[in-house]
Amino acid sequence: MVKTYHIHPAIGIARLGDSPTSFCLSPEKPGALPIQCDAQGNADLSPDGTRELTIAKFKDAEGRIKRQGARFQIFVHDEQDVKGRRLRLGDRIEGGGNNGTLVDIEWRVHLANKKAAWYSFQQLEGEHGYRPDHPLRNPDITDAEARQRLIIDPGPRTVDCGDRRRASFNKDPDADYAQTFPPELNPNGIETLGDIMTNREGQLIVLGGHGRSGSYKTGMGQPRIDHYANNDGWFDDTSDGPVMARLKMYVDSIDAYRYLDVAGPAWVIAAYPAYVPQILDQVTTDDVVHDMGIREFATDTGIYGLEGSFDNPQIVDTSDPEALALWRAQELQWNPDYLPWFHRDIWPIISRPWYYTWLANVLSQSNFPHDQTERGTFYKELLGRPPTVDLNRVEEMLARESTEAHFRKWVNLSRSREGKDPIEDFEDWPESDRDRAKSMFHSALQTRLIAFVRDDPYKKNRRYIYNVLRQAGEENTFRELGRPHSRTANAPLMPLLAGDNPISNTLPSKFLRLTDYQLFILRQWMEGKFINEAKMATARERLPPGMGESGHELDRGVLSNLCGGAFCPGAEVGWLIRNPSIYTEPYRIKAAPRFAEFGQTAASAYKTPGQSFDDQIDALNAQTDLSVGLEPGDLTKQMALPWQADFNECSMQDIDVTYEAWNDLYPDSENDARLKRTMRTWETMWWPAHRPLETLEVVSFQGGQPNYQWLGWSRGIPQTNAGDLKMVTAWKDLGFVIENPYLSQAQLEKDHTTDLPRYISVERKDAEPT
Amino acid sequence: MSTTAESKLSRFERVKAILARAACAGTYPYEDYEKYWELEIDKLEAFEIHGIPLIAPEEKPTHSCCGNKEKVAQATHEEPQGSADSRGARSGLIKGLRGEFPFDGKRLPRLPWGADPLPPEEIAFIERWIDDGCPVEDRVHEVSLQAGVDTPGDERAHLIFEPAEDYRPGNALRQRKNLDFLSPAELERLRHAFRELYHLNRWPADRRNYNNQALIHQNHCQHAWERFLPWHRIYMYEFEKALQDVVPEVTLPYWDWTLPRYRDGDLKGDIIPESFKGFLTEQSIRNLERRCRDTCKPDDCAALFPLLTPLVNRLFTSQRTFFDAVIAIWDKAGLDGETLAQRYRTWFIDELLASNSLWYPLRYPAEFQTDDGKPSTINEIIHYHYPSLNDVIQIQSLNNFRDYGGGSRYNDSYGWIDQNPHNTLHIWCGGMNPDYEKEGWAPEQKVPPKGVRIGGRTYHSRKDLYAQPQFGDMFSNLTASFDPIFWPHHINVDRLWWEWQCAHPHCEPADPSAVLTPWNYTVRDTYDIHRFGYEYVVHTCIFPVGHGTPISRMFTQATEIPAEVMSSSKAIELRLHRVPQMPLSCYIRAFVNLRDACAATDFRDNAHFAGYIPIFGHGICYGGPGHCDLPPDRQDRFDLRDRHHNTPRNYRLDVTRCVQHLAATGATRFEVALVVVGVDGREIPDMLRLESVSLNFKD
Repeated sequence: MVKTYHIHPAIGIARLGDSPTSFCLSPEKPGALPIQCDAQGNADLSPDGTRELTIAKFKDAEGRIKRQGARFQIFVHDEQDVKGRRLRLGDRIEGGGNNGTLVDIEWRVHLANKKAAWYSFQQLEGEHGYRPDHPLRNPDITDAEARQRLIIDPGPRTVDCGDRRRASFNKDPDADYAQTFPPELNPNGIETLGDIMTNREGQLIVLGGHGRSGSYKTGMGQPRIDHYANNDGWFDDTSDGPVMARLKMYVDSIDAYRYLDVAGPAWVIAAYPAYVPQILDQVTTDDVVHDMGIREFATDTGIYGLEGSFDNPQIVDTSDPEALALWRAQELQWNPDYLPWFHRDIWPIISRPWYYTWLANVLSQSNFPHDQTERGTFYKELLGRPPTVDLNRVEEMLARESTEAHFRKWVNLSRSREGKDPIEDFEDWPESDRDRAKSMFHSALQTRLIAFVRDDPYKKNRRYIYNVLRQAGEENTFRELGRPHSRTANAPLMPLLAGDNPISNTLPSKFLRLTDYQLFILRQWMEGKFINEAKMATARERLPPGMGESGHELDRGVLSNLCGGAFCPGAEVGWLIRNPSIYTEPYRIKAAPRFAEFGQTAASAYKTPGQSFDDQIDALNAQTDLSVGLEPGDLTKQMALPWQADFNECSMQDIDVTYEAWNDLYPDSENDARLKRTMRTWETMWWPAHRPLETLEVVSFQGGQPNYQWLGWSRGIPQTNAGDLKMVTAWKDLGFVIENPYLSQAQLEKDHTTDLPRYISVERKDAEPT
Repeated sequence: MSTTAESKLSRFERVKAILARAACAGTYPYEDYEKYWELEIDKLEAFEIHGIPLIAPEEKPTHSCCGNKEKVAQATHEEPQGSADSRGARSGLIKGLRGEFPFDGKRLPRLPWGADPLPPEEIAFIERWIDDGCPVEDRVHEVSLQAGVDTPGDERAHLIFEPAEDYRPGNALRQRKNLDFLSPAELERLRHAFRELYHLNRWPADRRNYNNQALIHQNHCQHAWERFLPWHRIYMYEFEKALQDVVPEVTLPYWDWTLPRYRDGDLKGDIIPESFKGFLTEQSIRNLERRCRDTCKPDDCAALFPLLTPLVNRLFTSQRTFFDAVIAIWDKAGLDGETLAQRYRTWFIDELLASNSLWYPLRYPAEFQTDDGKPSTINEIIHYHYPSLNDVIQIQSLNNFRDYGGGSRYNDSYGWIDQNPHNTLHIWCGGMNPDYEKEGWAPEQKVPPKGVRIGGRTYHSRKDLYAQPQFGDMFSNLTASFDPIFWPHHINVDRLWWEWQCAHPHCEPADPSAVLTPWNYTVRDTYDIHRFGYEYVVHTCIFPVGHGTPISRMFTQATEIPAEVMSSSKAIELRLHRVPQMPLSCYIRAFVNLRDACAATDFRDNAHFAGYIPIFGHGICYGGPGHCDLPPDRQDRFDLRDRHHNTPRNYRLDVTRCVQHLAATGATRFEVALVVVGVDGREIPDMLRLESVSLNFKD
């Protein structure tokens, strides 16, 4: 097996912060806190050196939000380690016909922001291609050269583990590269998209921008915000782009250095802060990409594959588009006998809504349907108990004397149906016929007996939960009121969160639904086809996705902290992330080669060590060419501009549920009084785990014990365009919501009531009680 | 195998003990039997975990009406223990204990649940127990095998076809083969073709001559960027065509540098292919004697050159090694070997060139020196190493054209195949001349009046071959193509690219429309080698049959296949060339090394059965006389009609598994038997006609 090298995570996340120098590392496990590190990006370790410490403060001494760096490392896969292990400086490496000692890693990153040059965001329009007349952002700028200036492109940067350890994506008039940066902006100009550095392990840390957004428009009323996603004249300093690595080895047999490129770059996204790091969204980006991988890239043909192949799952060359196309053209289905695990697969999905109790006052009063205590619908002990069958009892019943009499009756009954004479004396019946009939009878009886003695007292509990889940195709269904086939007793369908388009009448998609994979494993669970692995599996085997140690687990862990819907346009990424065309394989973005390779090939790098040849790159393309791959800035260019506008507005949403196919009704046009009277809306949340509404805060101390108060999380910032403008500068003052540090671990583990102040907001500007 | 004598417990009891001990940590109910291993054997054999039988059912032997019972019993007995198909390996228990699908932790946790995995030897013990039929009490089953039946008298003599060397089936692709496995005749043909092109050098303006072919490289070579591979593919093709103009059947062979005989550039292995080394023949000795007499040299020729007879047919990698051997003999005879060798140096070069047109004097393979003239290695002087098989595997695993074949920008964009094995082998073959500026050995460089001059040397001339340049011609881009070893080296690069293309069908250069000067091909034109009419094989055995006689059964003569051919072949393909349509649907069964193969031969569980080709019959001819006559090999150039309905077909059958299996059990000679069997299972006489049969070893 040829050794292969990969950068992980395949998609990394950096978070903006207004602190000029302080930073930490963004979490790499689901629901974890950021990792504490020193000024060179080395993680701080616990005294015993076994684990990385998490941060205690999200803000620096001056109360400014620390940036969170995306950490990238290289994994090697070989016979010894099929799942991959971390590569370290000093390891033996081989490739390109050389083998030697790893002495250095060159990292190359190219960040850009293309939001202002892209199409105007109009919900789902464009997901499968933009109409020719789909409007652009900044449409008054039409000249191609001028539109090119709407892209923020500082060019690529290279660092290594020698004397080029740091580089910044700064505006630099003397750069060799033809940079483009926006003009002077109000309220905040943009001079950089971030920094990169290597730490002593040779890992790369990518830091994003400082949360600076502004408009170049001046005059009375400027700057102003008119829309949640599209605002002409505006720029922000979020970004994305490819991350490449080149390994430098010392080859002792020839006393020379040789280079080796890590094939297939990783990608970095620099997005706004995760204010609620420990609570996951109902659907995470990892859920979305994992589901897409199973359905589009044949990543688990034992779960989703050719009908009848599940005992011997098909092996598909997932790197070959033709093989995949052929696979997809088959009659694929979800494996009806697949057994998900309760703790690893099921519980992480169905337990999430409970955590939102502490993110909105309304839920703190009314989240009882998700109650996890003994009397609640979501009591874990009951939901996790699979049906049992007492086979001894079946054996016993089969062995009873009356069974023989039943057998005789059964034989003669079936004979009479076939018009044959009954058998009087069974001793005379030919032995072979009798044996065959007996074995048929026994297996039929056994099947029935098993069903009969099957003990599944909690099926109705599971079925209730499953039935209220919103299925594929029900994105616009609020509840099944008055339907003959209603399965839910008129309860609203879940999740009851806003969908990809609750706004316009074009391609409405009012409510969020779980992914196909999630719905599939929940169906298996509902039917009793699941395993409670608590005693069967080791602790390592039981880990939920993203908690393991391999490179792929790192990919999943990182993306599990990103919002996976609704995409309107979303938080860190939008619906582009579920488009299979942007991947070479799930999680691995297909990068446009021009921008995702070093200036010279690895084979010739030894001739010009230390030179990057970055000046040879062409300008970024204002269009997308998915057949070639993504360029820097392409993954996030559809997101809201500036991000603060959509972030502010994505708290609550009024959704018109009068008719399924319409979000906007116009009763006034014909003065339809009846329609006016029957119109109804439902106000629901977007993604509380990314954008809380109200939170508990400690307002004072009494005898050393904290007093809590429910308060608006973003109080003073209205849900209006003016509020959006205020958010452009106020985002840095908001609090971070974390697990209540004043509670003991025992309390957190035992008390599952919603009365416990489990999560609280901390570090809100000027709001820390003493 | 342990017996009850060694341990008081039976194996079944030991299996139970192992499972009980392993699970003592957790007492999870395995589908309601808390301790499934305590079940009676018949219940245990029927026990399932989530629908997966813990112990796989025994595979029922397939009874056939014609096979005899001993044979079936034998086949069952031969079920390989511990192989992927064995009963143990198929059992859920073994899969579970090993953590294999579906107990891979994705669907079900590894067994035993909630406890540490078992050590592999204990799993193997349980697996063997299942393979042996889950005995409750240990009994060793012995099955005595019948002695082999004598082969019947050879009644099939008239059906045996002999191999041919100078034969190519009509319209088939030409085969570029491994240089080191060419037959003497193939090698002689290649030498002859080169000699013919050298001969044309006398007419400097003839574009076909060798020097002009070589000059194309000197003037146009594309190298160090993405056009390297496409350009050389065309160059190889054009040069091969020039050779075929004089010897139609010749193809350029490839030099697989990673064959074990080259020992990764270890100087104890072969440095270059044997066929490119220099040697003297008896004729050479006579020529030298005659020349000595003719030119009235002062030495006693009659005594001088016959002394060298022990050197006849000995192979020499370079001039230096050759002259060292000559000097040693003459010194031993009490002569001044060094002075004599210097005196007759040019004569020797003439003779070495005459005896082997593939030898080249300006080639100093693996000879490198430090600045002060001490012998050294390529690793130390050039900082490159000879490519090993592993190196090539690594390069072949690259997944984009830029890394593999070079980048689209001219500067600084080598691909690995170009930089590493290609460049290194050039330098390896060229080497550094140990006699450069060495007193007495380096002749005075006279500047000839005309011709192409580079660094004091003049091409287009025999005199140039006597020169003592600092580096061998393969060392430098401008001179490389004058050394004939250039061709097999580059053919190998082309072969590796083709293999890589097949493995990476979507990886192409950035600019497919670029023209490859001095020709008119574009880069895109080079993607498919088959349109240039060639393919790569390690080795081929071809057996002409002829359309004349219809056959129902045929055998090829047994042919020795060298072990190196077997080991470097990934696939072995049986081809039936130009088979006219048959009126009836039938099967052609192929057997290897089975002398009594016939329609009655049971092919199930038969290690000699290589596979079958189903023939879709054409039906009885409804036309008049001549309707189904064979069309001519090549359609007349003005005949624009569609392909003739009876155009003979070619059939291919992959026989890799069968041949490799037989080779693994010791066979080195192989013969193929073909049997035409109708749908009724009986042999069909007088129907199959074919032009030839071939056995192709592909890598």
